[in-house]
Amino acid sequence: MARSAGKPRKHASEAGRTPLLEWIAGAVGLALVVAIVGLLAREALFGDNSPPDLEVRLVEVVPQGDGALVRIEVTNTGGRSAAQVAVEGILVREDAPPETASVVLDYVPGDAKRKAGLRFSTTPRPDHLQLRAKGYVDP
Amino acid sequence: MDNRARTAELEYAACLARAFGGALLFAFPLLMTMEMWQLGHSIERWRLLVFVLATLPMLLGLSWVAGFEPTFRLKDELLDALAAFGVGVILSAVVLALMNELSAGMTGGEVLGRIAICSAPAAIGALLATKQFQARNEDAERATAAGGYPAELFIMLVGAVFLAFNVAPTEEVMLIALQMTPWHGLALATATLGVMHLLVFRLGFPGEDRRRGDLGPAAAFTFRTLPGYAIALLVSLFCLWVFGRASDLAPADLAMMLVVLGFPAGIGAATARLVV
Repeated sequence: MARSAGKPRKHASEAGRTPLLEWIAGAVGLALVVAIVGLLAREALFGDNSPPDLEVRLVEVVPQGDGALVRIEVTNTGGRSAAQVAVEGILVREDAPPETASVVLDYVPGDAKRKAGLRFSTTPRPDHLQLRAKGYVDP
Repeated sequence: MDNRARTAELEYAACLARAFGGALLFAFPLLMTMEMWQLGHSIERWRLLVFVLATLPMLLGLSWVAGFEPTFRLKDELLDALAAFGVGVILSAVVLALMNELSAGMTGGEVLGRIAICSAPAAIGALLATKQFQARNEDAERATAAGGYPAELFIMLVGAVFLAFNVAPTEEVMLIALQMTPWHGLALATATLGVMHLLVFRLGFPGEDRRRGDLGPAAAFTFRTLPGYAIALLVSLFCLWVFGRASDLAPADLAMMLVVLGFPAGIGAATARLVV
């Protein structure tokens, strides 16, 4: 960025010495630039770019009033994010028809976890529950 | 430390404080936009990298026309640009954390993406607002006069980036484009050009280039309004590309989205003088 000699230099003498704080602020800024650019470049070059790999895990069953809450955790072990992740839980009972509950999670980023809840009308036994992610949309 | 040095330190501290205030003011709409957090992790990393890398020279140029300090030296401009970037990153991180948009359960990539995408507008705000609060219009005009036509185009670019960036991440751009007929698109493009031309060259704004009187209406349209709109459309294209909204579109749909986003971008370019 070469400057021609004809440019105004009115303030050059006033600001003869750069304040120490300015050096510190500049150094912090430089460190943050290097860190962010470096980390982004590393992810861009070597990051996991595989499609979403969604797994649904049961966290706990909480009996509530007229039914039960099933807390679940959705893990995306793929590299890319998944949007509108549809999760379904089916409660299979011997004495009654199966009951289905479902929920849609806005976003499950790559290598991240999100928690959600499914509601059933009875308290299910964990081994009677079938949990799965049915689908997603690319963000 | 002698008295004068202490005064210089205190003055710079005040500048930094203004920078944080400005960053907050300018980045608020984005920090509180859902799409920004989601884009923070869903954007492909190399797009985000290009975006951050493109921000840096813009900050440097901006620090020339509107720096923390009224100096015209490369060292200070570099320091100002870096400091502004630092302010943008720190402010974004703090505000996002306050709103629980950065939490312990997130992966490093998510945190990085959210901060990186919000820090650029915050950094631009930091640079612009210190200048704005200092009310050094004369200095800026002198710097712009020294830079000539390219500097004027650059200021239009900054204005376009600023407004386009506030709108580009939202779904609404695509929704509006889909709702419009080609006739609406033509009308909006014409209206944008007309309003830009009126804003810049017919209505007077304080701090506006005094030399506008040198140009006749036709020349002003050719050398200011039209390039300004072209810049607005290119900025719109870049923003849409960064946010991954320009992919897999029919050319006509892309053109419509550019016209839609070109509306705020064009107004931003035309009124950039108010802010920069």
